[in-house]
Amino acid sequence: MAAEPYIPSSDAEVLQTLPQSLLVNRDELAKLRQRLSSDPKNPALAATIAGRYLSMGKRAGDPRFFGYARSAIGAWWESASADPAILRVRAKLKEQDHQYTEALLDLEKTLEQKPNDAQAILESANILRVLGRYDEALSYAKRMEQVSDEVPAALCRAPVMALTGEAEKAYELLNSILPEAKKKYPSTVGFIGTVKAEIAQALGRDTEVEQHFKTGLDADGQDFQMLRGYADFLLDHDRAEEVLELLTPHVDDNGVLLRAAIAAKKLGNEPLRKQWQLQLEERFREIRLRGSEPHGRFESRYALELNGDPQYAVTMAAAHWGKQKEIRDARNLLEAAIAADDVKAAEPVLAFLKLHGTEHVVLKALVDQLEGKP
Amino acid sequence: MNRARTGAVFLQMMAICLICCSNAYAHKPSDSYLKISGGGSLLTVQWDIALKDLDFLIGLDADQNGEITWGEVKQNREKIASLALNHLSISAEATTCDLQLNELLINRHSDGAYAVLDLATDQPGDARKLTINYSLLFDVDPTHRGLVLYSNDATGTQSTHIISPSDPPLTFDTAQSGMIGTLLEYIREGVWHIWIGFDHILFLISLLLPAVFIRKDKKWETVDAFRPACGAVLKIVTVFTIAHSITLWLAVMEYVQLPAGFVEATIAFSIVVTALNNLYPVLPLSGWAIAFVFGLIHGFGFANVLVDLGLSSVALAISLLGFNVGVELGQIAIVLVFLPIAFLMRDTIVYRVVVFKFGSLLIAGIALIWMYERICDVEILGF
Repeated sequence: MAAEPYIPSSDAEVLQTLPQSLLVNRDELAKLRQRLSSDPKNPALAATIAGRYLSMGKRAGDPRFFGYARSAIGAWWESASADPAILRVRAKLKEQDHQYTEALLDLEKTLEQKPNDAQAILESANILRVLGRYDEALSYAKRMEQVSDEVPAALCRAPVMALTGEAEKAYELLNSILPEAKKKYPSTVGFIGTVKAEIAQALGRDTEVEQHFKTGLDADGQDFQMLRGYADFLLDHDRAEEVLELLTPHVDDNGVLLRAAIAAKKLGNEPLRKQWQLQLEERFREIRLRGSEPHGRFESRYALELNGDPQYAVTMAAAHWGKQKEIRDARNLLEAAIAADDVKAAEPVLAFLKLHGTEHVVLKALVDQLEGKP
Repeated sequence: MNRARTGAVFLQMMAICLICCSNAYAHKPSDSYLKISGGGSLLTVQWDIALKDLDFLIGLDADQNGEITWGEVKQNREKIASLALNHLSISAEATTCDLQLNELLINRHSDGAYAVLDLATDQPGDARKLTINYSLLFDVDPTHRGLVLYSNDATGTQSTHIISPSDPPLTFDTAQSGMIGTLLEYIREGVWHIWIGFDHILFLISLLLPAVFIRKDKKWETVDAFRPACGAVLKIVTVFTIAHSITLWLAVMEYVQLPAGFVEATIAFSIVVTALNNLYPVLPLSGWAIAFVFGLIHGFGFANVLVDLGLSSVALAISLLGFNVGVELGQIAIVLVFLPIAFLMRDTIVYRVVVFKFGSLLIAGIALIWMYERICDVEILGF
């Protein structure tokens, strides 16, 4: 386990850096928690604290904060009929823990109490999309149209359209609502940009995709989602050198570490590849030690792209495909199946993509390869 | 319901929503590692607690600059010790340990830096029953886990336990998976490997088939009494055991290593040769000599299995011994079934022609296909 304990040689040695978001929010959150401890049955206050910790956890990429969030709403964690504010944040925490069914259930309970809760509708549509249940996701988009105006409705609809053969239309829809969104819902502009970039990626518009990542990282160089996404884009374009430069300061994050190790391997940088791969394996090991499993999406890519074990990659990717059906999940299984020369393993993905008419340049190339097309 | 209000709520909550919801955890949630070591005169405890967690509980970052330095950790030594020791008690055989902080150190885990509390206890290192009462961080983080790693260098015992907030105090028997347990486990693995390892069974049977015969002038004649037949079998099995024990040890200790593909193909080859030698006894070697020569190669095959099972260096000798004993037990079981039947049937035409001749031929045929499969890496037989 880990390394050998040691005594640092200097008092000034920095052992641990704390996330920026913690420093900014620390005092205020301490006050809020103080208030909660003297008013422990106040659901609005508890939900506010949990929500703050939840977003800090996302920003810092540290699930500890999800634990603190859960603790704040601990009095209601098991309760069947909690305040909608509690249910909403509880759903989000369960979703973070990949308990999608339970999260959907909490959102349903929220909507029973507040049928017009736009956020619960949007969250439901989002989760259903991740699960590949597109028809149900679209039914929430319809519901949104009834309770809200066109921007939230488009936010429900466009991401699903993008995956069901209407990528171009989805892109236009997002463009058409953008001015209104900027005026009325400025906090959604980032999300709209992300979905637009995903569509651009599906359609192979590389210049636009790269522009999106660059703008995003200029605004926030610590955004793990951006870093991971841009790294994948660069890896796809044989620009591993840039990946190394981009990711080296951020390997705290498992997703970043995985891509950094892949880039080092592509460049033939053995010392770095070895160092990062060992680090990743150690993280997987410690996750298992606490009785959990590493994320299937990471583990299948690790097996395929670092450990040279396509069979295991197929097993992991196929198991993960049973849980989540995003583009990356489809891609992982297709790539692993090709490497393992196991066309049968790819069949569920091939059937799914055909059924929904999903357009994606990278997936199309893989599908063609599997189906023996030139 | 007015849309304006919906919009306002929506706007307010948007910030925490929407970022790709399948987002994988960047690290793992919070854990602490409680390493308890037995085997010495007194139990010792090493407790690794994340600096991030300590900072959350007691605030290590005195200058609020977002960086925790060694100086800041040292300044908080007493606070850390009293916080930690207020949330942990260890009892050995129902006597509560007096825990004392010897030294404060630092360790790195996969998700950052940890303070290491090197703790002394007043309880004997060979304590059988330990009870851990652990509650660190549980009130502020229900996803926190206390991971207890017990090890005993004297007995080679190791065990891992996970403590979560809803668990009662953890009690475990330190000897539970001790030497006997490891030995039994590997004996079982050895027996199981013989049972599922068709190639070893077929090799043994081809060696045993002629045990009820004596070779005279390059021809087989039946033995008169059970005793010489028994003696021959005993010799064959013993020699086979000695041979494969030697190479098993050499391979597991990594003194000699052969590619697995080569070993597997040669094992198949050994079966072909032995079975054919039953039909045309031309090898200038007797049964026990064949058993010895080919036993050497079978040992490498056993080693590959044993290495796949995973070995801890502490338990290496025990697992080697256990595995060998298990393999022997498996072989003896085959002999006990085979020999009486073969002896009783030795004079019949059924044994002499159907069992002995066609049996050997069939075994040679199967092994030949195995050999082809293993050399060319294809699957024909499926077993």
